[in-house]
Amino acid sequence: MARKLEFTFQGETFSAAIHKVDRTKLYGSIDVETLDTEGKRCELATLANDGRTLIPYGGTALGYVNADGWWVDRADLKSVDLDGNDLPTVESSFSKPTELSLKVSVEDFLDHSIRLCYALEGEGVSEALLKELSEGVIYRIDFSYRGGSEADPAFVLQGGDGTPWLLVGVKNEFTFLGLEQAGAGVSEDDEAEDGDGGDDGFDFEML
Amino acid sequence: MPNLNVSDSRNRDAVVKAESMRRETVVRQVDAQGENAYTRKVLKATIEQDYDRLLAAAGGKEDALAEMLVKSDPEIDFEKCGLFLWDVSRVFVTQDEEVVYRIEQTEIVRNPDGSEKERRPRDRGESNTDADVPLKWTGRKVSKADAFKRFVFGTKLQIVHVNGLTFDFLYDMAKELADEKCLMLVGGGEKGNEPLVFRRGSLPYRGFLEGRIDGDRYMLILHLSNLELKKPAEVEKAEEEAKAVPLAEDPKPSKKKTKKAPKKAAKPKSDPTNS
Repeated sequence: MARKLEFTFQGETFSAAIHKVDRTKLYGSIDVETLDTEGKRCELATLANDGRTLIPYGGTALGYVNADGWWVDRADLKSVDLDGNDLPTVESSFSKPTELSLKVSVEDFLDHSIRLCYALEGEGVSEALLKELSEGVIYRIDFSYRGGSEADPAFVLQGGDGTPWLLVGVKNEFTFLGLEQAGAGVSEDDEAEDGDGGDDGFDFEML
Repeated sequence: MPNLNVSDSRNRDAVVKAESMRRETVVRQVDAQGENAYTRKVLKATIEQDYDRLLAAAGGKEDALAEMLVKSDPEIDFEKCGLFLWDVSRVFVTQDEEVVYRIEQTEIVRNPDGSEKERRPRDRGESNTDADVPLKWTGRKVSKADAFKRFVFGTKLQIVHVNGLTFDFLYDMAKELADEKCLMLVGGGEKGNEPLVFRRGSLPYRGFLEGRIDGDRYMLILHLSNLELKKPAEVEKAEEEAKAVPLAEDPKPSKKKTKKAPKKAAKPKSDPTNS
Protein backbone atom coordinates (compact mmCIF):
# COMPACT_ATOMS: atom_id res chain seq x y z
CA MET A 1 0.00 0.00 0.00
CA ALA A 2 1.54 3.31 -1.10
CA ARG A 3 2.02 5.95 1.58
CA LYS A 4 0.06 9.16 1.27
CA LEU A 5 1.35 12.69 1.43
CA GLU A 6 -0.89 15.62 2.28
CA PHE A 7 -0.60 18.88 0.40
CA THR A 8 -2.20 22.29 0.85
CA PHE A 9 -2.87 24.39 -2.23
CA GLN A 10 -4.72 27.72 -2.18
CA GLY A 11 -6.37 26.81 1.10
CA GLU A 12 -7.42 23.32 0.07
CA THR A 13 -5.89 20.22 1.59
CA PHE A 14 -5.69 16.99 -0.35
CA SER A 15 -3.69 13.79 -0.15
CA ALA A 16 -1.88 11.85 -2.83
CA ALA A 17 -0.38 8.37 -2.77
CA ILE A 18 3.29 8.28 -3.76
CA HIS A 19 4.60 5.48 -5.95
CA LYS A 20 8.36 5.28 -6.22
CA VAL A 21 9.61 4.86 -9.77
CA ASP A 22 13.12 3.77 -10.68
CA ARG A 23 14.96 2.04 -13.52
CA THR A 24 14.19 -1.43 -12.23
CA LYS A 25 10.44 -0.79 -12.43
CA LEU A 26 10.63 0.79 -15.88
CA TYR A 27 13.28 -1.20 -17.68
CA GLY A 28 14.14 -4.21 -15.52
CA SER A 29 17.54 -4.97 -14.10
CA ILE A 30 20.79 -6.80 -14.73
CA ASP A 31 22.25 -9.33 -12.30
CA VAL A 32 25.79 -10.53 -12.69
CA GLU A 33 26.47 -14.23 -12.18
CA THR A 34 30.06 -15.18 -11.45
CA LEU A 35 31.35 -18.69 -12.11
CA ASP A 36 34.75 -20.26 -11.67
CA THR A 37 36.45 -22.30 -14.41
CA GLU A 38 34.51 -25.40 -13.30
CA GLY A 39 31.20 -23.66 -13.67
CA LYS A 40 30.55 -23.35 -9.93
CA ARG A 41 28.87 -20.22 -8.67
CA CYS A 42 31.07 -17.75 -6.77
CA GLU A 43 30.21 -15.10 -4.26
CA LEU A 44 31.92 -11.97 -3.08
CA ALA A 45 33.73 -11.99 0.24
CA THR A 46 36.06 -9.63 2.04
CA LEU A 47 39.73 -10.35 2.53
CA ALA A 48 41.26 -8.60 5.54
CA ASN A 49 44.54 -6.74 5.15
CA ASP A 50 46.44 -9.70 6.65
CA GLY A 51 45.81 -11.47 3.36
CA ARG A 52 44.48 -14.57 5.12
CA THR A 53 41.27 -13.76 6.98
CA LEU A 54 38.20 -14.25 4.84
CA ILE A 55 35.03 -12.50 5.92
CA PRO A 56 31.73 -13.60 4.38
CA TYR A 57 28.76 -11.40 3.54
CA GLY A 58 27.31 -10.09 6.81
CA GLY A 59 30.58 -10.56 8.69
CA THR A 60 31.29 -6.87 9.10
CA ALA A 61 29.55 -4.02 10.86
CA LEU A 62 29.86 -0.25 11.00
CA GLY A 63 30.14 1.54 14.30
CA TYR A 64 31.23 4.80 15.88
CA VAL A 65 34.29 5.34 18.06
CA ASN A 66 35.54 8.50 19.74
CA ALA A 67 39.03 9.97 19.39
CA ASP A 68 40.34 7.59 22.07
CA GLY A 69 39.02 4.57 20.24
CA TRP A 70 36.18 3.83 22.65
CA TRP A 71 32.91 2.58 21.24
CA VAL A 72 30.07 5.13 21.17
CA ASP A 73 26.45 4.07 20.94
CA ARG A 74 24.55 5.57 18.05
CA ALA A 75 21.83 6.75 20.43
CA ASP A 76 24.39 8.94 22.23
CA LEU A 77 25.44 10.75 19.06
CA LYS A 78 24.33 14.18 17.96
CA SER A 79 24.60 15.74 14.50
CA VAL A 80 26.32 19.13 14.29
CA ASP A 81 27.73 21.29 11.51
CA LEU A 82 31.41 22.06 10.96
CA ASP A 83 31.32 24.80 13.63
CA GLY A 84 29.72 22.52 16.18
CA ASN A 85 26.28 24.10 16.03
CA ASP A 86 23.29 21.83 16.38
CA LEU A 87 21.63 21.10 13.08
CA PRO A 88 17.98 22.01 12.93
CA THR A 89 15.75 18.97 12.98
CA VAL A 90 12.88 18.58 10.57
CA GLU A 91 9.75 16.51 10.85
CA SER A 92 8.80 13.82 8.41
CA SER A 93 6.81 15.20 5.49
CA PHE A 94 4.16 12.60 6.27
CA SER A 95 3.40 14.18 9.66
CA LYS A 96 1.63 17.28 8.37
CA PRO A 97 0.42 18.83 5.09
CA THR A 98 3.02 20.50 2.87
CA GLU A 99 2.09 23.81 1.35
CA LEU A 100 2.49 24.26 -2.40
CA SER A 101 3.15 27.94 -2.82
CA LEU A 102 6.72 28.46 -3.98
CA LYS A 103 7.01 28.48 -7.76
CA VAL A 104 10.44 28.11 -9.32
CA SER A 105 11.79 28.54 -12.83
CA VAL A 106 12.91 25.73 -15.10
CA GLU A 107 16.52 26.82 -14.57
CA ASP A 108 16.14 26.57 -10.79
CA PHE A 109 14.78 23.07 -11.24
CA LEU A 110 17.55 22.12 -13.67
CA ASP A 111 20.11 23.21 -11.06
CA HIS A 112 19.17 20.12 -9.05
CA SER A 113 20.22 16.51 -9.56
CA ILE A 114 17.16 14.34 -9.07
CA ARG A 115 17.75 11.26 -6.93
CA LEU A 116 14.19 10.03 -6.22
CA CYS A 117 11.03 10.02 -8.33
CA TYR A 118 7.54 9.50 -6.97
CA ALA A 119 4.43 9.39 -9.15
CA LEU A 120 1.56 11.09 -7.34
CA GLU A 121 -1.87 9.55 -7.45
CA GLY A 122 -4.94 10.77 -5.68
CA GLU A 123 -8.58 11.18 -6.41
CA GLY A 124 -8.70 14.45 -4.52
CA VAL A 125 -5.83 16.28 -6.19
CA SER A 126 -6.85 19.91 -6.63
CA GLU A 127 -8.15 20.76 -10.10
CA ALA A 128 -6.60 24.20 -9.88
CA LEU A 129 -3.24 22.63 -9.10
CA LEU A 130 -3.48 20.19 -11.99
CA LYS A 131 -4.29 23.05 -14.32
CA GLU A 132 -1.22 24.99 -13.20
CA LEU A 133 1.01 21.97 -13.46
CA SER A 134 -0.25 21.31 -16.99
CA GLU A 135 0.91 24.81 -17.90
CA GLY A 136 4.46 23.94 -16.87
CA VAL A 137 4.47 25.43 -13.37
CA ILE A 138 6.95 23.81 -10.98
CA TYR A 139 6.45 24.00 -7.23
CA ARG A 140 9.32 23.61 -4.78
CA ILE A 141 8.94 22.08 -1.32
CA ASP A 142 11.18 20.70 1.41
CA PHE A 143 10.86 16.94 1.72
CA SER A 144 12.03 14.58 4.42
CA TYR A 145 10.82 10.98 4.36
CA ARG A 146 11.68 10.05 7.95
CA GLY A 147 12.54 13.39 9.53
CA GLY A 148 16.04 14.17 10.68
CA SER A 149 18.66 16.84 10.42
CA GLU A 150 17.93 18.17 6.96
CA ALA A 151 15.14 18.22 4.43
CA ASP A 152 15.84 17.74 0.74
CA PRO A 153 14.67 20.11 -1.97
CA ALA A 154 11.79 18.52 -3.87
CA PHE A 155 9.61 19.58 -6.77
CA VAL A 156 6.01 18.96 -7.75
CA LEU A 157 5.46 19.10 -11.50
CA GLN A 158 3.62 17.35 -14.30
CA GLY A 159 5.22 14.84 -16.61
CA GLY A 160 4.73 14.58 -20.34
CA ASP A 161 1.92 12.04 -19.89
CA GLY A 162 -0.03 14.26 -17.51
CA THR A 163 1.05 12.46 -14.35
CA PRO A 164 1.89 14.69 -11.38
CA TRP A 165 5.30 13.87 -9.93
CA LEU A 166 7.25 14.54 -6.76
CA LEU A 167 10.96 14.66 -7.58
CA VAL A 168 13.50 14.80 -4.74
CA GLY A 169 16.87 16.31 -5.56
CA VAL A 170 20.21 17.69 -4.48
CA LYS A 171 21.30 21.23 -5.29
CA ASN A 172 24.30 21.89 -7.52
CA GLU A 173 26.32 25.06 -7.12
CA PHE A 174 26.82 26.02 -10.75
CA THR A 175 28.63 29.30 -11.37
CA PHE A 176 29.11 31.55 -14.37
CA LEU A 177 32.69 31.47 -15.63
CA GLY A 178 34.62 34.33 -17.12
CA LEU A 179 37.86 34.18 -19.05
CA GLU A 180 39.92 35.11 -16.01
CA GLN A 181 38.45 32.31 -13.96
CA ALA A 182 40.42 29.21 -14.79
CA GLY A 183 37.71 26.59 -14.99
CA ALA A 184 40.08 23.74 -14.34
CA GLY A 185 43.44 23.49 -12.62
CA VAL A 186 46.41 23.33 -14.94
CA SER A 187 48.53 20.25 -14.32
CA GLU A 188 51.98 20.78 -12.92
CA ASP A 189 53.51 19.34 -16.08
CA ASP A 190 52.06 22.17 -18.12
CA GLU A 191 53.32 24.93 -15.88
CA ALA A 192 56.49 26.64 -16.93
CA GLU A 193 59.19 26.10 -14.36
CA ASP A 194 60.72 29.11 -12.73
CA GLY A 195 64.13 29.42 -14.26
CA ASP A 196 67.19 31.38 -13.35
CA GLY A 197 67.11 33.25 -16.61
CA GLY A 198 68.22 36.55 -15.29
CA ASP A 199 66.34 39.83 -15.25
CA ASP A 200 65.62 39.90 -19.00
CA GLY A 201 63.78 36.52 -18.76
CA PHE A 202 66.13 34.63 -21.06
CA ASP A 203 67.44 31.35 -19.77
CA PHE A 204 71.04 31.06 -20.94
CA GLU A 205 71.62 27.91 -18.98
CA MET A 206 69.74 25.90 -21.59
CA LEU A 207 72.27 26.91 -24.25
CA MET B 1 37.74 16.24 -12.88
CA PRO B 2 37.29 14.03 -15.92
CA ASN B 3 38.27 15.23 -19.38
CA LEU B 4 35.59 15.66 -21.99
CA ASN B 5 36.31 15.61 -25.71
CA VAL B 6 33.34 17.47 -27.17
CA SER B 7 32.44 19.05 -30.52
CA ASP B 8 30.25 22.03 -31.36
CA SER B 9 27.76 22.75 -34.12
CA ARG B 10 30.57 23.53 -36.58
CA ASN B 11 32.17 20.16 -35.86
CA ARG B 12 35.10 21.79 -34.08
CA ASP B 13 36.24 19.75 -31.10
CA ALA B 14 38.28 20.38 -27.98
CA VAL B 15 39.20 18.61 -24.79
CA VAL B 16 37.74 20.40 -21.78
CA LYS B 17 36.97 19.49 -18.19
CA ALA B 18 33.76 18.36 -16.51
CA GLU B 19 33.29 19.26 -12.88
CA SER B 20 30.75 18.06 -10.35
CA MET B 21 29.22 20.98 -8.47
CA ARG B 22 27.04 19.01 -6.08
CA ARG B 23 26.49 20.74 -2.76
CA GLU B 24 27.37 18.43 0.10
CA THR B 25 26.32 19.30 3.60
CA VAL B 26 29.10 18.51 6.02
CA VAL B 27 27.67 16.84 9.09
CA ARG B 28 29.74 15.77 12.07
CA GLN B 29 28.73 13.27 14.68
CA VAL B 30 29.69 14.13 18.26
CA ASP B 31 29.25 12.23 21.50
CA ALA B 32 27.72 13.47 24.74
CA GLN B 33 30.96 15.30 25.60
CA GLY B 34 30.98 17.07 22.26
CA GLU B 35 33.95 15.08 20.97
CA ASN B 36 34.06 13.93 17.37
CA ALA B 37 32.95 10.40 16.65
CA TYR B 38 34.29 8.48 13.67
CA THR B 39 32.87 5.56 11.75
CA ARG B 40 34.85 2.36 11.70
CA LYS B 41 34.32 -0.95 9.95
CA VAL B 42 34.41 -3.77 12.48
CA LEU B 43 34.84 -7.49 12.01
CA LYS B 44 31.97 -9.56 13.40
CA ALA B 45 32.79 -13.06 12.22
CA THR B 46 35.11 -14.72 9.76
CA ILE B 47 34.37 -17.55 7.40
CA GLU B 48 35.44 -19.96 10.14
CA GLN B 49 32.35 -19.00 12.15
CA ASP B 50 29.79 -19.29 9.43
CA TYR B 51 27.02 -21.89 9.50
CA ASP B 52 28.62 -24.40 7.11
CA ARG B 53 31.91 -24.55 9.04
CA LEU B 54 30.21 -24.82 12.42
CA LEU B 55 27.92 -27.54 11.15
CA ALA B 56 30.91 -29.47 9.82
CA ALA B 57 32.60 -29.12 13.19
CA ALA B 58 29.48 -30.58 14.79
CA GLY B 59 29.67 -33.63 12.54
CA GLY B 60 26.96 -32.40 10.21
CA LYS B 61 24.23 -32.68 12.85
CA GLU B 62 22.14 -29.67 13.71
CA ASP B 63 21.28 -31.01 17.17
CA ALA B 64 24.96 -31.31 17.95
CA LEU B 65 25.54 -27.81 16.62
CA ALA B 66 22.75 -26.43 18.82
CA GLU B 67 24.32 -28.09 21.83
CA MET B 68 27.72 -26.67 20.91
CA LEU B 69 26.28 -23.18 20.68
CA VAL B 70 24.66 -23.49 24.09
CA LYS B 71 27.64 -24.97 25.90
CA SER B 72 30.39 -22.85 24.35
CA ASP B 73 30.67 -19.94 21.92
CA PRO B 74 32.09 -21.44 18.74
CA GLU B 75 30.42 -18.72 16.69
CA ILE B 76 32.67 -16.05 18.23
CA ASP B 77 36.40 -15.77 17.59
CA PHE B 78 37.44 -13.80 20.65
CA GLU B 79 40.80 -12.96 19.10
CA LYS B 80 39.36 -11.40 15.97
CA CYS B 81 35.82 -10.30 16.79
CA GLY B 82 35.69 -6.53 17.11
CA LEU B 83 38.88 -5.87 15.12
CA PHE B 84 38.85 -2.68 13.12
CA LEU B 85 39.19 -3.36 9.41
CA TRP B 86 41.42 -1.29 7.12
CA ASP B 87 42.52 -1.69 3.54
CA VAL B 88 40.33 -4.69 2.87
CA SER B 89 40.00 -6.33 -0.52
CA ARG B 90 37.02 -7.86 -2.24
CA VAL B 91 37.56 -11.40 -3.54
CA PHE B 92 35.44 -14.09 -5.09
CA VAL B 93 35.04 -17.39 -3.24
CA THR B 94 33.49 -20.66 -4.30
CA GLN B 95 30.76 -22.37 -2.34
CA ASP B 96 33.57 -24.35 -0.69
CA GLU B 97 34.80 -20.97 0.59
CA GLU B 98 38.03 -21.01 -1.34
CA VAL B 99 39.40 -17.94 -3.06
CA VAL B 100 39.03 -18.03 -6.83
CA TYR B 101 41.60 -16.53 -9.14
CA ARG B 102 39.90 -16.96 -12.51
CA ILE B 103 36.26 -16.16 -13.12
CA GLU B 104 33.71 -15.83 -15.88
CA GLN B 105 30.85 -13.39 -15.52
CA THR B 106 27.44 -13.55 -17.16
CA GLU B 107 24.80 -10.85 -17.21
CA ILE B 108 21.26 -11.99 -16.45
CA VAL B 109 18.86 -9.42 -17.93
CA ARG B 110 15.55 -9.32 -16.06
CA ASN B 111 12.21 -7.81 -16.98
CA PRO B 112 10.56 -5.31 -14.61
CA ASP B 113 8.57 -8.20 -13.10
CA GLY B 114 11.81 -10.01 -12.25
CA SER B 115 11.50 -12.75 -14.87
CA GLU B 116 14.61 -13.62 -16.83
CA LYS B 117 14.78 -12.10 -20.29
CA GLU B 118 18.18 -13.22 -21.57
CA ARG B 119 21.69 -14.19 -20.57
CA ARG B 120 24.82 -12.79 -22.17
CA PRO B 121 28.53 -12.48 -21.43
CA ARG B 122 29.27 -9.50 -19.25
CA ASP B 123 30.15 -6.47 -21.32
CA ARG B 124 32.00 -3.66 -19.58
CA GLY B 125 31.69 -0.82 -22.03
CA GLU B 126 34.72 1.36 -22.57
CA SER B 127 34.72 5.03 -21.72
CA ASN B 128 33.84 7.26 -24.67
CA THR B 129 33.84 10.74 -23.14
CA ASP B 130 37.58 11.28 -23.48
CA ALA B 131 38.25 9.14 -26.53
CA ASP B 132 39.82 10.05 -29.85
CA VAL B 133 36.34 10.45 -31.30
CA PRO B 134 34.76 13.52 -29.69
CA LEU B 135 31.22 13.61 -28.37
CA LYS B 136 28.98 14.72 -31.19
CA TRP B 137 26.77 17.78 -31.29
CA THR B 138 23.81 15.79 -32.62
CA GLY B 139 21.59 18.72 -33.51
CA ARG B 140 18.69 17.06 -31.67
CA LYS B 141 17.25 19.79 -29.52
CA VAL B 142 14.72 19.56 -26.74
CA SER B 143 13.12 22.68 -25.37
CA LYS B 144 13.66 23.23 -21.66
CA ALA B 145 9.91 23.26 -21.21
CA ASP B 146 9.73 19.72 -22.59
CA ALA B 147 12.99 18.32 -21.24
CA PHE B 148 12.07 18.45 -17.57
CA LYS B 149 8.76 16.67 -18.31
CA ARG B 150 10.35 13.81 -20.21
CA PHE B 151 13.68 12.99 -18.57
CA VAL B 152 15.03 12.57 -15.08
CA PHE B 153 18.43 14.23 -14.81
CA GLY B 154 20.11 12.38 -11.97
CA THR B 155 23.63 13.72 -12.43
CA LYS B 156 24.94 17.03 -13.69
CA LEU B 157 28.39 18.27 -14.58
CA GLN B 158 29.57 21.77 -15.32
CA ILE B 159 31.77 21.95 -18.42
CA VAL B 160 34.71 24.24 -17.80
CA HIS B 161 37.42 25.68 -20.01
CA VAL B 162 41.14 25.04 -19.58
CA ASN B 163 42.56 27.99 -21.54
CA GLY B 164 41.54 31.00 -23.58
CA LEU B 165 40.75 29.07 -26.75
CA THR B 166 38.47 26.65 -24.98
CA PHE B 167 36.83 29.59 -23.20
CA ASP B 168 35.73 31.00 -26.58
CA PHE B 169 34.75 27.51 -27.74
CA LEU B 170 32.52 26.85 -24.75
CA TYR B 171 31.17 30.40 -24.58
CA ASP B 172 29.91 30.15 -28.16
CA MET B 173 28.31 26.77 -27.44
CA ALA B 174 26.58 28.14 -24.36
CA LYS B 175 25.36 31.21 -26.23
CA GLU B 176 23.94 29.17 -29.08
CA LEU B 177 22.02 26.99 -26.64
CA ALA B 178 20.91 29.89 -24.44
CA ASP B 179 19.54 31.80 -27.45
CA GLU B 180 17.40 28.82 -28.43
CA LYS B 181 16.34 28.03 -24.84
CA CYS B 182 16.91 24.37 -25.45
CA LEU B 183 18.95 21.37 -24.37
CA MET B 184 21.09 19.64 -26.97
CA LEU B 185 21.60 15.89 -27.04
CA VAL B 186 25.26 14.88 -27.26
CA GLY B 187 26.23 11.37 -28.20
CA GLY B 188 29.32 9.21 -28.22
CA GLY B 189 30.84 7.03 -30.90
CA GLU B 190 31.50 7.61 -34.58
CA LYS B 191 27.85 8.25 -35.37
CA GLY B 192 27.17 10.22 -32.21
CA ASN B 193 24.30 7.97 -31.18
CA GLU B 194 25.87 6.12 -28.26
CA PRO B 195 25.21 6.99 -24.62
CA LEU B 196 27.99 8.56 -22.59
CA VAL B 197 30.20 6.22 -20.58
CA PHE B 198 32.59 8.05 -18.27
CA ARG B 199 34.50 5.07 -16.88
CA ARG B 200 34.90 1.53 -18.11
CA GLY B 201 31.94 -0.52 -16.94
CA SER B 202 30.05 2.44 -15.50
CA LEU B 203 26.40 3.21 -16.18
CA PRO B 204 25.75 4.76 -19.60
CA TYR B 205 23.86 8.05 -19.66
CA ARG B 206 22.18 10.22 -22.25
CA GLY B 207 23.80 13.63 -22.13
CA PHE B 208 22.04 16.95 -22.73
CA LEU B 209 23.93 20.23 -22.89
CA GLU B 210 22.40 23.42 -21.52
CA GLY B 211 23.91 26.85 -21.96
CA ARG B 212 23.40 30.06 -19.99
CA ILE B 213 25.00 33.45 -20.57
CA ASP B 214 25.56 36.35 -18.19
CA GLY B 215 27.33 39.12 -20.09
CA ASP B 216 30.81 37.89 -20.91
CA ARG B 217 30.47 34.85 -18.66
CA TYR B 218 29.01 31.50 -19.55
CA MET B 219 27.66 28.43 -17.87
CA LEU B 220 27.57 25.12 -19.75
CA ILE B 221 25.90 22.23 -17.95
CA LEU B 222 25.85 18.61 -19.02
CA HIS B 223 22.65 16.98 -17.75
CA LEU B 224 22.90 13.20 -17.54
CA SER B 225 19.84 10.97 -17.64
CA ASN B 226 19.21 7.23 -17.64
CA LEU B 227 15.55 7.38 -16.69
CA GLU B 228 12.46 8.69 -18.42
CA LEU B 229 9.74 10.43 -16.49
CA LYS B 230 6.91 8.00 -17.02
CA LYS B 231 4.91 5.54 -14.99
CA PRO B 232 5.76 1.84 -15.20
CA ALA B 233 3.04 -0.69 -15.80
CA GLU B 234 2.93 -1.87 -12.16
CA VAL B 235 2.21 1.64 -10.88
CA GLU B 236 -0.63 2.04 -13.37
CA LYS B 237 -1.98 -1.32 -12.24
CA ALA B 238 -1.79 -0.29 -8.57
CA GLU B 239 -3.66 2.91 -9.36
CA GLU B 240 -6.36 1.00 -11.22
CA GLU B 241 -6.74 -1.37 -8.27
CA ALA B 242 -6.96 1.57 -5.87
CA LYS B 243 -9.71 3.14 -7.99
CA ALA B 244 -11.60 -0.14 -8.07
CA VAL B 245 -12.04 -0.09 -4.25
CA PRO B 246 -15.73 0.78 -3.39
CA LEU B 247 -16.27 4.35 -2.16
CA ALA B 248 -17.58 3.19 1.23
CA GLU B 249 -14.25 1.52 2.05
CA ASP B 250 -12.06 4.31 0.73
CA PRO B 251 -12.61 7.55 2.65
CA LYS B 252 -11.93 10.41 0.25
CA PRO B 253 -9.67 13.18 1.48
CA SER B 254 -11.51 16.28 2.62
CA LYS B 255 -11.19 19.43 0.54
CA LYS B 256 -12.09 21.66 3.51
CA LYS B 257 -9.62 23.14 5.92
CA THR B 258 -11.03 21.20 8.88
CA LYS B 259 -9.54 17.77 9.35
CA LYS B 260 -12.86 16.01 9.88
CA ALA B 261 -15.23 16.59 7.01
CA PRO B 262 -18.61 15.00 6.41
CA LYS B 263 -18.51 12.10 3.99
CA LYS B 264 -19.71 12.98 0.54
CA ALA B 265 -19.36 11.54 -2.91
CA ALA B 266 -16.12 12.42 -4.65
CA LYS B 267 -16.27 14.69 -7.69
CA PRO B 268 -15.67 12.97 -10.98
CA LYS B 269 -12.03 13.44 -11.84
CA SER B 270 -10.03 13.13 -15.03
CA ASP B 271 -7.70 10.16 -15.26
CA PRO B 272 -4.15 11.51 -14.74
CA THR B 273 -2.79 8.81 -17.04
CA ASN B 274 -4.55 10.39 -19.99
CA SER B 275 -2.17 12.75 -21.68
